[in-house]
Amino acid sequence: MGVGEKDADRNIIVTTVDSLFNWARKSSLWPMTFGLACCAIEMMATGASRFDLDRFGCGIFRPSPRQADLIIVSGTVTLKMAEPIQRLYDQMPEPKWVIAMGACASVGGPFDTYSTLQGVDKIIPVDVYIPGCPPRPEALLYGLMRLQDKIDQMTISKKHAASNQGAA
Amino acid sequence: MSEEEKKDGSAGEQQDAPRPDQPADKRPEPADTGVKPGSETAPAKPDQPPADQPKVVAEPAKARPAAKAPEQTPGSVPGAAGAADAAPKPKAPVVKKPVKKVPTYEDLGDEALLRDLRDQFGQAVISGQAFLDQQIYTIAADSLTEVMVYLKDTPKWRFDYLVDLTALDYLGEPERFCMVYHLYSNPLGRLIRVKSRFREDAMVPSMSSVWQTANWMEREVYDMFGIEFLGHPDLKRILLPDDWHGYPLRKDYDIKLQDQEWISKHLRIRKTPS
Repeated sequence: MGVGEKDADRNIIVTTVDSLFNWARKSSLWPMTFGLACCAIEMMATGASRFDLDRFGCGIFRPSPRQADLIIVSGTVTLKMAEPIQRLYDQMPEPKWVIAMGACASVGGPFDTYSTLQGVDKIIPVDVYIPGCPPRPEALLYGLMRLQDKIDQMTISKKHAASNQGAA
Repeated sequence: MSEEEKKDGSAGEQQDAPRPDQPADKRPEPADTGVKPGSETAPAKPDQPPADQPKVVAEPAKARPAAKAPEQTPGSVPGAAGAADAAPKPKAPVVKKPVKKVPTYEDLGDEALLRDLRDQFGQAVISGQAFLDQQIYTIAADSLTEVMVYLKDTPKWRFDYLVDLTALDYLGEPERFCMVYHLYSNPLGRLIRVKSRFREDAMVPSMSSVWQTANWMEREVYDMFGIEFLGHPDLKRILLPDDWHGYPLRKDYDIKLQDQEWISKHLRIRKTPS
């Protein structure tokens, strides 16, 4: 849409709308339940009461990809599982983000073998990589907050729209 | 210790110079000569050659390890002094590290199950071995089914629980694969291992009619080794995708080898941003 874009790039209307949309999006990131391996336990721990995900608005894990806007790939991605991951990612509506949690999802982890996909970014674009084996809940929360910072960069202005869905 | 050695060298020098006519073993030695043997095994200090000579005489007479223990010192002084002329007194006991006994495979001999199997099946029972507390029975390939049925059904040995079924790959040998079965008897509380060698193209008899759990275990062995089982109801891959080529746990399969044909067919690999 681009209100008042002819002369100024980011005028007050655009930036206000931007900040409103970005605040809404980053404060209600609904993840899809996608725990594959050990990192899933840490994700569950993060969602539990001590390190609460719900205070970030991310507490509602949606079982269906069509209702989720964040997929936290937590765990080792085998080649056999990579196909469903592609399909699930395709079914998520825009705007969608991906967090690769842990070493296995980022680069394949310690498993450089015949069956393991060396990093989920080989099949889907990843926004935030969280290293660790498994990363502590604080690390996952930090990654989540960095993703929120990334969402803050989004804009409705067409000229600067390259920052939207920035993961190539 | 190096501090003591340095002290030795300087003390030895001072003592050596004024009394060169005294016999080597009468030379008064400082109390910390116990560490001298250690200095011999270590790179020799250039200021110590005169002091080393009595030690060279003393050393072969006593087989001591590189002495790092200062507690050998009280014993070593009279020992070093008298070594040139007498047998070494056992003052400082040589501390030997206890040698661990390496476990080996031993024959079971006259063990009850082995004897029973030999009575029933004779030559089919190739050997019975014991390793630590385990019992391993090697059976010939063509009598495997009968032996297994016997082990399961005989009231004397009711091995009713197949704990594990797996295979080994001896690449290069004519009988390439070795099937390994772990059987447990609930009434007896006894766990045994049964092994059997097969050639590469041989069909292994399926145990799924004897123990139901063998069904999936044999599917896993087929998936990883390519061993086909005769009489298996549903032999297909269980861990890898159904249309994967190759059997990963064979010794000639590279650990990192991925089936590129399968990948290009099923996955869309994207170019990762560098």
